[in-house]
Amino acid sequence: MANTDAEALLVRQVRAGDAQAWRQLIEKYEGRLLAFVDSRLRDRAASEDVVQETFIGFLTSLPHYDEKRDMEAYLFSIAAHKLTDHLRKQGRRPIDQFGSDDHGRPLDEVPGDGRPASSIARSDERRRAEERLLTDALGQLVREWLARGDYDRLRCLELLIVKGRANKDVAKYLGLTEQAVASYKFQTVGRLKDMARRAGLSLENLGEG
Amino acid sequence: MSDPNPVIDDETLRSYLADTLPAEDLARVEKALRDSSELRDRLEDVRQNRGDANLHTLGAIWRRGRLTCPSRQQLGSYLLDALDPGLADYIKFHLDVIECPFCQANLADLSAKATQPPAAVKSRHNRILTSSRHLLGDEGRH
Repeated sequence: MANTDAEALLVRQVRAGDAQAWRQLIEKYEGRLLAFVDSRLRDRAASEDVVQETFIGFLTSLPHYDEKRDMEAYLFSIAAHKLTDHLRKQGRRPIDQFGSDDHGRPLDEVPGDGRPASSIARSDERRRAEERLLTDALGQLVREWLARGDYDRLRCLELLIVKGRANKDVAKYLGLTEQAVASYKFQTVGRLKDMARRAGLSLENLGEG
Repeated sequence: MSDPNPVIDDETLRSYLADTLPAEDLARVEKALRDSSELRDRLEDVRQNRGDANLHTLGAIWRRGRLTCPSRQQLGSYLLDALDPGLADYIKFHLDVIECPFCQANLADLSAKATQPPAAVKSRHNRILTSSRHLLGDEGRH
């Protein structure tokens, strides 16, 4: 999700020191951030402190914020980091490190029967290029599935990729055959590879097992 | 002889964010972060760059890109039971089975909006404003 023009304007106003714009931004996002933090801490007062730290962190990091970056995702990422800080200070292990792959696997290991490949992540630059490509390519596939109401496929791929479930578990959960699940995965990997090839990148090890 | 206080470089910060530091280093970095605002700023920079190879996964990309997250407007319609049944079922799956924490938070917030006393909400917002206003530019201080 990209920022709207109104959000970009709001950021520019906050950057310029506009207190009213800052209030608007707080009013817009505070509730969802509080719900997010409190769902993990289950301590309202502590959660409010973490959210307060989140907004302070946002202002502190504002000089580096890219207006094209989704504002909500950015704020959630700061909140998750502040939450992790809070849990660590309490001697509790973080429940979730935003952005860390708590469920996922290395890029080349499409869940099911993937195996690590060495061609991925050789450099930050290449990783970024691959990430941009994969975000765009996966995004395009998701939009296609949503547009034609292909929710079975969407659920299947989301369970495989995001939740890291095995083919047979996904098949059982969704009432599909394992063959159908394998087919969805095969088609998706194939399309991602095609898209990568057209963009001049190679993801040849993606999903091989 | 090893340096008893090795420099905390970006790579160390990346490992900290990825939760892969040994316990001793973890304690050292956490203490340094508590003591140094400069280091906290640097941590934010490193976090935004996201150069950690461990994060580079399809699952992480999917989540970071929030590729299947419904819009807040769609979540509002979901609450009002005003969506196409297929999409509503899918959103329920995204919330309950995928357990997307961001969509769950948005939904909880939207649900709470109808019941929260406005004064309590305003008080929370004012507290944040008061604690952060000094970080706005000069124009924001009036």
